[in-house]
Amino acid sequence: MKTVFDSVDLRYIDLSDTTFKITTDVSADNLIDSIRNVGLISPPTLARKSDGGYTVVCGFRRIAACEFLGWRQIDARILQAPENEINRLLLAIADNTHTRPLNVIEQAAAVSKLAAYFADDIALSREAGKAGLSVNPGLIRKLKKIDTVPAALKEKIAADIISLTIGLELSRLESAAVMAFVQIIEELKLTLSHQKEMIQRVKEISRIKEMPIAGIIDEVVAGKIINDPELDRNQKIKKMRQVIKQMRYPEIVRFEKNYSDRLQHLQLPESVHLVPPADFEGNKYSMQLNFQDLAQFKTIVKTLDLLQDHPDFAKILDKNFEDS
Amino acid sequence: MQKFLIKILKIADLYIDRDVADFPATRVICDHLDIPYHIIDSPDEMYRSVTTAVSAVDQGKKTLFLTRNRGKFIRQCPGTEYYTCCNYMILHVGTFCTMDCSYCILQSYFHPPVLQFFVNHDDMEDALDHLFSQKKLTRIGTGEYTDSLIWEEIYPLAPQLIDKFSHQSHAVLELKTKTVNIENILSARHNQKTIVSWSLNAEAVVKSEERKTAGIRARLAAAAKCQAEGYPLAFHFDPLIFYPGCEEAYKNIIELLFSYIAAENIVWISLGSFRFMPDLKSIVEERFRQSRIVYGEFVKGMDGKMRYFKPLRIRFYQTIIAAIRQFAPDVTLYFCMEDDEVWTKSMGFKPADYGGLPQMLDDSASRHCHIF
Repeated sequence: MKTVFDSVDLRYIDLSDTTFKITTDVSADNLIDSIRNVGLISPPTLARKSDGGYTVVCGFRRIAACEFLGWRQIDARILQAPENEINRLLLAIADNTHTRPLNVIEQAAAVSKLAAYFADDIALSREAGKAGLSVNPGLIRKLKKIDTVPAALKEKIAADIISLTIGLELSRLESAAVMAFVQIIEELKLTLSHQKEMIQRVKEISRIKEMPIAGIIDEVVAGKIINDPELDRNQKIKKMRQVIKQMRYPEIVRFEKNYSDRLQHLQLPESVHLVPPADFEGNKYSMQLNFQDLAQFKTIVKTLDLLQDHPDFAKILDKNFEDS
Repeated sequence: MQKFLIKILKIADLYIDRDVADFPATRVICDHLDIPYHIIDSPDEMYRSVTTAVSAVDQGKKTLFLTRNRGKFIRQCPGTEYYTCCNYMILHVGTFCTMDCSYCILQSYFHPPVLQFFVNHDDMEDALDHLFSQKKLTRIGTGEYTDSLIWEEIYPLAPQLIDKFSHQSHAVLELKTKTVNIENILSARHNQKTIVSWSLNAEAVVKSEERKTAGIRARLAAAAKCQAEGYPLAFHFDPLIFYPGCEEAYKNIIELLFSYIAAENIVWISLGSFRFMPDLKSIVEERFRQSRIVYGEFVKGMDGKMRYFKPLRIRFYQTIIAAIRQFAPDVTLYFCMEDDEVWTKSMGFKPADYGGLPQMLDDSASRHCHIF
């Protein structure tokens, strides 16, 4: 790749041309201080445009910092024709990957720009690898999808507030729903599994009740839970999960409540722990007994003896659906 | 009579395994379909055309591969250990289906999903002869990996099988269908060794979830025709789908069933609530955008399949069983893949009380089909 060094008038550099832009970092603050103190160590790379101006291939933030500092001229590497666009793009990607790991949105931008030149994801993966971007065909498919999500969601993904997995999940939803989910995730700092659970259940409630997702979130979660000053973060998460589960699985929740009420009626001591079959699907209940000596054991046995004729115990074992 | 043969087999691509190109059944089918075909040495090219299509399932439903059954023609129905299985046998005549039910497991069962019809019928006859020679009471059906009667439009397999079974007294054949393709079988000499059976469902479910199937009344009218020809009959309420108002809807179908069919002609009625491997959910969401069936109150069952919450199943079964018993107090009712708890709480007994589920069904088959 042939280049020549030259001093270029900043007015002729077109920063609005983002053909080769990979970075999502719009802030040049740290660079401004560095350039002010020690000067421009690594000159940006430019390509000449047909109108006499320049396209930035590498160094958007460096140029922005120099502009901020009031520079009029900048030293730059100028790519010599006939360099083709794909090589310029690979150079732009390598310039980024060789200095820092790219975030998901930057990877997505790089992949989407490369996809214009490679119909085959395997070839794309190979070429991206040469530029230091390690992406397999499976990841390429996901990144292409992520590159199409609204800018507001991209911002959250780039900031690592939303993961790639959740971003992909949200990419299928309307923007009001996306932002409603993002607000909750950000506000409550939900774990990934809680995020997945919430999104899946609310989506399904939306389909069952034929209500927009954003409406469900506003009505059920945001208004009543997130803004409740009486609850701390963990209480909000717990309540939100309960409310969503109640909406998604009303009969199961009713059954579980009855079970829980009946268990309370049994007044089992802490040393006796009744374990129902998982999801009440199997038939085997188990009981854990904790004791230290014979006296404690005798007390437990007396408690168990009483269970035999306790109507609530019978209803528990019968998986009775009636309200307790 | 023509109304009992509705064309649902619309083949766009016909592939023939070179190995079976000259088989009699191949020639019959080619003559009947009268479309260009590809004779292939390996199915790879055909599989590629199916798997690379926008929808592999849709492509598979119009791609027919005539080939040899290289495995066993007779195999055990794949039950699981925890739930009670009826020890049914499968006569493996072909794969996949041209009808399109949202809940159909076959969408995710075959990789890739493609219509295959096995034409090495000499091997099938040998397998059946071997089965009959064992003189063991057997219930066997063709409707597990495909619909038993969709193939009648291109090849008269059912009458061939009915005839074969009519000459022995140990095995009973079940032809299970959602079609009304009975034209070929009405005049067959069956000697009560073939049970013709229909899957039934609530009308709303048929309308929304069972694309290209015959309507319920049409199915029952076809069943009544078979009844008139002396065929033993069976019905399968499987999958039962839970939705608001479903209990009344199923009661209506039960009432309708017994307005067409006399209880004493029914060998068995099976009940099974909707259950599915988790992989099926995304397929249903993708292919049946209007369907809500995967959003029931499901939990993961002991076999890894999603099942309605057990207390809900039991409560629903109790209602359905009471409705059936009102019309047919003595009919043999059974669950497909439920455990003793469900049996006891819904039916009032467990299969072991009557020697086990296979024994219960064998006894009913003996009474209705005179096998021993």
